[in-house]
Amino acid sequence: MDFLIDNLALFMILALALLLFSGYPVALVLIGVALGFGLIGYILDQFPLIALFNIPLRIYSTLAENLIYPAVPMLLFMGIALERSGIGRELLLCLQVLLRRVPASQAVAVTVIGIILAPSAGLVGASVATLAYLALPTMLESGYKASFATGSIAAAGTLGLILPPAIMLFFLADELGVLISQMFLSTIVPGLVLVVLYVAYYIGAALLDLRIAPPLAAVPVRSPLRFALYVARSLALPVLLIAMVLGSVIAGLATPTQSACVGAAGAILLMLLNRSISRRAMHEIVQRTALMTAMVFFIALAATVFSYVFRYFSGDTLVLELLRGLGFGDWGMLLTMLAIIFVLGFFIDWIEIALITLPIFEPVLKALDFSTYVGSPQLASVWIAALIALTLQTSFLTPPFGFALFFLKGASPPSVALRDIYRGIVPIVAIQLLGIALVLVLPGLATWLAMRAAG
Amino acid sequence: MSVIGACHALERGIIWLGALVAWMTLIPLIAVSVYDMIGRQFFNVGSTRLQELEWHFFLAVVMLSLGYAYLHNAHVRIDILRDRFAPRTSAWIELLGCLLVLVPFCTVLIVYGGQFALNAFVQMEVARAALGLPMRWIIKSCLPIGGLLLLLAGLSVAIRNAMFLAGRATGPAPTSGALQRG
Repeated sequence: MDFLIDNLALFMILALALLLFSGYPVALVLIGVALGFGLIGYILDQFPLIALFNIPLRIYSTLAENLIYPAVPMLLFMGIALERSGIGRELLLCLQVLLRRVPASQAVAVTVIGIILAPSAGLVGASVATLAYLALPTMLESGYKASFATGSIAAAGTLGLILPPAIMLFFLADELGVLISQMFLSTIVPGLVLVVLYVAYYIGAALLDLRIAPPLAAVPVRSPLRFALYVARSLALPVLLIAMVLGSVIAGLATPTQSACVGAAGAILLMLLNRSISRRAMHEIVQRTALMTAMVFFIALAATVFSYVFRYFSGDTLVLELLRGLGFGDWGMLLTMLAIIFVLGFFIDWIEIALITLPIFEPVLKALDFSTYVGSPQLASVWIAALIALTLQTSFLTPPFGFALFFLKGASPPSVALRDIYRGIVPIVAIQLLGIALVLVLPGLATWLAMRAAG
Repeated sequence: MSVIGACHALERGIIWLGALVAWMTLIPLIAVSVYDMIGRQFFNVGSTRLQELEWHFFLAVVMLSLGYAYLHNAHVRIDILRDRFAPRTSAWIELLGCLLVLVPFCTVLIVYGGQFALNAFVQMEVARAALGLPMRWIIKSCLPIGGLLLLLAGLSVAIRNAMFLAGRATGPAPTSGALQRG
């Protein structure tokens, strides 16, 4: 019995891991495990029932008085509006025309769209599927090799996970105690390094073998003035909007909520300019935003309920002792944690990982000391946050389980086999691993901008 | 009216309400934030009340959409194994989950959350900040109300799954996927 009492927290993790696969909503599984173990604890005299009164209290304090979270639904609104209104499609077409002389132009264009649009899509599945719907049919029509095309789409879609204003960064910043502006800055340089590597690979592959990515067929000629207007409307305005949203937060001119509301209001304005606004379209955008907000934050508040009971049974110290027992130093612990996150990414989306795993790891993360390696304790947190973001992104791309790959398959025409997708992703995963290694060896990649901003 | 008919009517009601809540929280959230942002950035007037209003709308949309999202099957599931389960297995899981997890959780939200809101009402709790919004009980009552909406959604889904298992309905609920992850 004592063994059971001492290890209640570990049994909680075990029960959670098993029950998650029941397919019942993740948030409710988290709450169920918490309530169930609360009951067991009550029977074993380890948990007073009155502690349940704290559950609404904790839910309230997770959501209330928070000046940053209201930014999340507004960013989701912007992303969904840009996608639903066809602005995303226009943007892609325009980029393809502009880049037509570049080898592998469509793969490069989809990467640029990944930088611009994917971050506000919110979820890996959503952004990969969106890009696949937008870009894959044209790429296949113009003779792109299926594996090459799908590889570039998967890479572009998961960029949305790490580049600001990705929703995931809000939660990572919260868990790791990093300022949101610093969190945003930490992934920009590593993300851009990845983009440069991707593009170099696309262009190189296309030059070596013309059959992989044939150039685009002739484009209908228009008058320069009309063309300039076309570019302004379908490319410059959306890019300006997103640059404003990002720039204002990063420059410290605005809070995330302020810049997110500019993004949301700007998306409505763009829809007005594009004449793609209608009551039906707005209804769909508003409803999807609400559903997605409820989905993300239900898990967030369920995770606080879970970790409340988990901590009640001193689960946090238990995990710390367990990992310490492995006898690793700081580096060993960090790499072990990244490896665990990498493997978890095969099965579950980032929301669950960031909101369930990180709170469990929190004492371990706090115990790590990389301040001499990185420069300061604050910068060390920024660096670790960036590493976690990159690890998750890579995990979603890695066969055979890679999460993004299944969504890609789901959004692809039947002619594209999962085998093609797996083959196409191999060079991308190699680039990702190179990126992670670079950030591990050169922490400055993640911290340089954050350091500059902090002065 | 048949039991299934009653479930459908109840679900239509929750969905209608959810759609209304989405409009009445998200658009005001954007409007208030824009207004507050303009004031702060260009006219140097910051209003604590507007800022509090922002998270009020945010909290409301989250809490009041939980049941709505459940009926739209928008809550994340790990469906690696679920896709291979027989429909009866999925129906059993959904039914047990609703009875063993959703109902007790919503009860906690309604009872303790209700007490929490009631305390705020009785004490006429106001914001801690000097110029914040009064009447905290309004926003705090989103917890029991959201719990009630989720409870009703969960009960309806549980009944429909039980009917399916008894061979009296066609498919396990919730099946509509307005917002699949993709």
